[in-house]
Amino acid sequence: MKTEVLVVGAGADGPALAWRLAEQGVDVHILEAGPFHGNEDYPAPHRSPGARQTDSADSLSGALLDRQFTNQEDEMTSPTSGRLRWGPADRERAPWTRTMPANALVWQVAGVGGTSLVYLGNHPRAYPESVTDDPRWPLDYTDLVPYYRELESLHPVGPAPTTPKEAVFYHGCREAGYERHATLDVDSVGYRPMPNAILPPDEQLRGEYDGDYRSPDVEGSTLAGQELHGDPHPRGAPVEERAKRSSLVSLVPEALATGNVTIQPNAFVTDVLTERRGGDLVATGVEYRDTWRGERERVHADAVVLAAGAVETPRLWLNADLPEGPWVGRGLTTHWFDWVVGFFEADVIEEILGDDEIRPYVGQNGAARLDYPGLGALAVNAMPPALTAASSFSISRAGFSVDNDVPADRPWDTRGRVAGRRLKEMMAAYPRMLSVIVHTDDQPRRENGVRLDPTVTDEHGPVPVVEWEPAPEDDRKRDRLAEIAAEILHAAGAHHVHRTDQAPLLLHMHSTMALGRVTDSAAEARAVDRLFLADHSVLPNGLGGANPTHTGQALALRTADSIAERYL
Amino acid sequence: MGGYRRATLGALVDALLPRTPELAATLGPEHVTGGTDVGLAEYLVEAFDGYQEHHLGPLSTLLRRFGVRNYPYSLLVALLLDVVAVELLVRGDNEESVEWWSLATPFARLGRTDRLRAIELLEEGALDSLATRTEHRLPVLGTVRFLALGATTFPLLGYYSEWPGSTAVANPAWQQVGYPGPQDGFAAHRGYEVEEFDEWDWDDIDRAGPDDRREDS
Repeated sequence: MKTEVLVVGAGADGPALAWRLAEQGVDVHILEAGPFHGNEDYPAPHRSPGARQTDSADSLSGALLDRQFTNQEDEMTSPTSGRLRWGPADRERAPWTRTMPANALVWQVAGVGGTSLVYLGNHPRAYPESVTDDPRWPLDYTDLVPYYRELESLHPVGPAPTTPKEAVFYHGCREAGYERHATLDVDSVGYRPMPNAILPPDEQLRGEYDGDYRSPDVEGSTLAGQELHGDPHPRGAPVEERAKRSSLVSLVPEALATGNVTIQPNAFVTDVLTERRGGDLVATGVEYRDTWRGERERVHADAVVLAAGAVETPRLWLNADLPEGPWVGRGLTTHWFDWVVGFFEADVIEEILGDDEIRPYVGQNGAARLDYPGLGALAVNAMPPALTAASSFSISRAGFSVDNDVPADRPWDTRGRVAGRRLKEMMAAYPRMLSVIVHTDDQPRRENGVRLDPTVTDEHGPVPVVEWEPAPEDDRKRDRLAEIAAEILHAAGAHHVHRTDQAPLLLHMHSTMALGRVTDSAAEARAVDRLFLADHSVLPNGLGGANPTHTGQALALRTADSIAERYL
Repeated sequence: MGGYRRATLGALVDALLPRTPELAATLGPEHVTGGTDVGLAEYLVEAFDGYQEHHLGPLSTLLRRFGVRNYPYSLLVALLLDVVAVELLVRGDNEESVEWWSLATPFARLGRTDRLRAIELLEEGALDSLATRTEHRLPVLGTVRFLALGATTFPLLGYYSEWPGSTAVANPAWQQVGYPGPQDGFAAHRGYEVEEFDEWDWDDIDRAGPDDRREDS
């Protein structure tokens, strides 16, 4: 098979690039390792293969999406059997293996939409200084602005609405003396609503509402608080009108509507084909394995784009025996997360909200933030109870809090894992709990990254080893941000603050195939002509702590322009 | 074998999410139920045994013929917990008395807090010393560490999810945390802290051509 541009991966960024090229009349074929949800060509995506490929927006089905995205936590996001997991579409099979040599957890999602199926819709721009002032970036911030603008009107991106948990957070920020920002371009400390790629909530949801929260009765966000579990709201709407603008509902329908894009799910790329032209190594296509049938086939193309994510892109590069270099697979940044949780008494909440519960499952999962250029960012991060319990009280490097004495000068009362009666008591306080996530501006270092496991091979070749450890400077920043989070929670009136001291939880993963280090400034591999990279692996740093999707997609659009200019 | 796994994993569940009759007086009768009451060990067996396929060449082909596709990690986790339980006792680091006369497995004989200490041995002490001696075995140790992390995390993921509700009429864990279960929406819109974002004044920005910056290529 032959196409003009072949894209490996239909995650958050690949579809942006595909749409941009297809709009210009270029034929694009996307190979995606996981299933295609909400599509009549794949009526039972976890039980049977469905069509070989699909090329029409007419096959998208809101009714199927409503059935498949149940919002049940275990059914959707269990790391072993969830519908949104890193593994083959066939749920009779286990997830795909990755090796983690440390106490750490990596969260990837296979399927059309990739991790944007579980992302919170957060679309902040990078901090300008993190691009312009970091010599690792071969671009200036102003190079990104036109692409940011384009995405902000396409998805669209706007200020997240206030629900009870944001109101409590803003109250704490004000009481702690922070300024409010209303800008997309942040160069100083301040709080603001999250710039979210989630359609604004229906205005009916401001008051008494007794409808069914479904289309056509409502339009836009229903404040259901299910972004992490797929978020199909409002149910009943066509796929492209769902509120959270994962690439499945935003960029993929746009791309298919051009008539120039085909998407082939259940196709895991295992090799990049190359040939020598003159003295140069040139990419000519890929080989993939059909995850249901086990057959291997090849696709040839004028240009090949790797958009498989910050773990799989370097793994594929290494498994394809492409030239190694000092930064291939290296430099992983992860935002070195932490969680700081505040517990409130009913009367305190009553005074702020006029209601005695926060109910953290209400509203968008991530809808307010405090930007802190130089350190990173804080954001309200509220989830349904299973992920709340696991992330706040279990995934920690600090041990069980039974043995953790917190010195009196620390701004938190407890730290680490919680178990037993204490865990049940803390979870019983869930309705009056406010969780703040810490995003640390961790720095790329060669020790961190992705390499091949010499001892474990699956059906797609040697599996990746994912290594990430913080540097002392990363720890220092995270500690400071955790203190600030605790101060804000206390200022809001929390009577007890808990710090998780999280173990590495790798959800944001970037910088493993960085622009400038592995590619030129147009994201074409230095070592292989006609091979481009378009996922978060090309981000040269962690953007100062800003969520990565907006910048990843902006760069993907820019890379599409480069491909057209150079080769088409 | 199944009984052994479930006994040891049940003791793990009991340490993390115990039955708490004492909470009836302070929080209410719905707070008594614990992980063992909803059979959470079964969830752990499914989670661990569903975690990883074996890739052992011809041996895997043979095992698949007998329907064995994955590593039996639930058994491995149970064994590891018993090994570190013995290690804790040998070191004399247990702080609660042990029921020596019991027929239970070593891990299940420990007091609840000591069981948590044993889990930490699994993650830290016991493994770190092994890691420094056998550098090339690190990937295998990584799996063990992941299982240790799973041992503390999977029970919480299962207990507070919809899973306990599948065996009872109502979900006791959701009653304990005041969660109504997934809903299609909430009328909780309180307006906007900021109505609209602005941006800096980016005069004269055209689309920067990608090849304007080719100095490095």
